[in-house]
Amino acid sequence: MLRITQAELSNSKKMIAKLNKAKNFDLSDAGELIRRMMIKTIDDNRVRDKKSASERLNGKYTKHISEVIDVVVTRDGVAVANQATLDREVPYWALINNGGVIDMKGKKIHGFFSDGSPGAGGITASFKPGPGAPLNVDMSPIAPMNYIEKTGFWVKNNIWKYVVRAMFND
Amino acid sequence: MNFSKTRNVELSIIDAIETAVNASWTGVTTVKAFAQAYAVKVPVLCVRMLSIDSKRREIGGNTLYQEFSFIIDIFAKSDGQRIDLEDFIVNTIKNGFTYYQYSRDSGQTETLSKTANGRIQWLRIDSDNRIDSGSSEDEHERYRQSITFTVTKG
Repeated sequence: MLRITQAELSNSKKMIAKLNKAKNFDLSDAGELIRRMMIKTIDDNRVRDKKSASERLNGKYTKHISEVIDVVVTRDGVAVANQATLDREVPYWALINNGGVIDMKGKKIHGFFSDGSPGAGGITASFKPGPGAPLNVDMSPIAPMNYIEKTGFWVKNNIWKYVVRAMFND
Repeated sequence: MNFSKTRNVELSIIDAIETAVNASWTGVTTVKAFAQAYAVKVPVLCVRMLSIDSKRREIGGNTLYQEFSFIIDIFAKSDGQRIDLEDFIVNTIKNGFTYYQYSRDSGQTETLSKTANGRIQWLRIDSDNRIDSGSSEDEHERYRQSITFTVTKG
C-alpha cells in the first residue's frame, strides 16, 4: 500500500516524485488517492464552517458526503463513489456538485431558530421545524462546488498515467 | 492596463461563445457567473473557468505550459433545445478560439479594448452530461446540461 501524506496530496510535484519511485502502485492505491482528493476538494470548498455544518440539515442526514465516498476496484478499472449509496445516504450530493435551487418555490416553512429569533438566526443557530412563525424559503441558488469535475481534472492532469499503468500491470 | 493571460483566455472564450450563439440563436443569454444565470429567464448559458493546471514547459526553464478547464451549464427551455444547444456548443468549441489580449485604460471600468494575438487550442471534452434534479418547479432546473472541456494557449 503506497502512503501519500496529506501534504503530498496538496503538492502534486512531490506526489508525482513519489509515484515515479513507487514500484507497486496498483488500482486500489489509485482509487484511495482519488477518494482522498475528492474529499479534500469538498473540504476545501466548504461554504459553512465545520462546526455549524455538523448538524447537517437539522439532523435529517446523519452522514457527510466524505463518509460515504467509497472505492471499488473491478477487473476493468476503479470506481470512486457509488451513486446508489450517495442517493440513499446523502441525496444532497448532486445539488452541492451541480448547484441550483431547492425546489420549494413559493412555499413557507413554519418553525423557529434555536436562538429564539423568528427570522434568520445567527451563525450558530439551527432551524427547528414546528410551530412558529412562517419563514420564507431563500430562493438564491446554491453555488456549484463541482467537486466531481475538479477531481476528474486532477486525475487527468496528475495521475492518469499511473492509473493506466496500474491497470495494465495487473 | 493589460489583463493577465488567464483572464484573457476566459474573456476570449466567453466572448467567442456569446458571439457564436447570438449569430445563430435568438433569445439565448450568455452569463459568466452561476448566480447570474438564475436572474434571467431561460434559455441561459453559463460559461465559467473551473481550474487551471500549470506545468513546467521544459526541464530547466521557468516558462509554464497551462491547461484551462471550463464548464458550460446550459439551462434550456425544452429537452429538444437542451440537446440542440449542446450540439451547437460542442461544434463551436471544437474549432478553438481566437486569443485576444484585453486591456482597459485606468479609471475606465466599463469599456475593454481587445487585440487578436494568436489562438486558443481546444484539447478535449471532459464530460457532457444531462443534469437531472428530478421534478422541479424552477424553470432553470428542468432542462439542464453540463459540458466540461479543456483548452490551452500553447
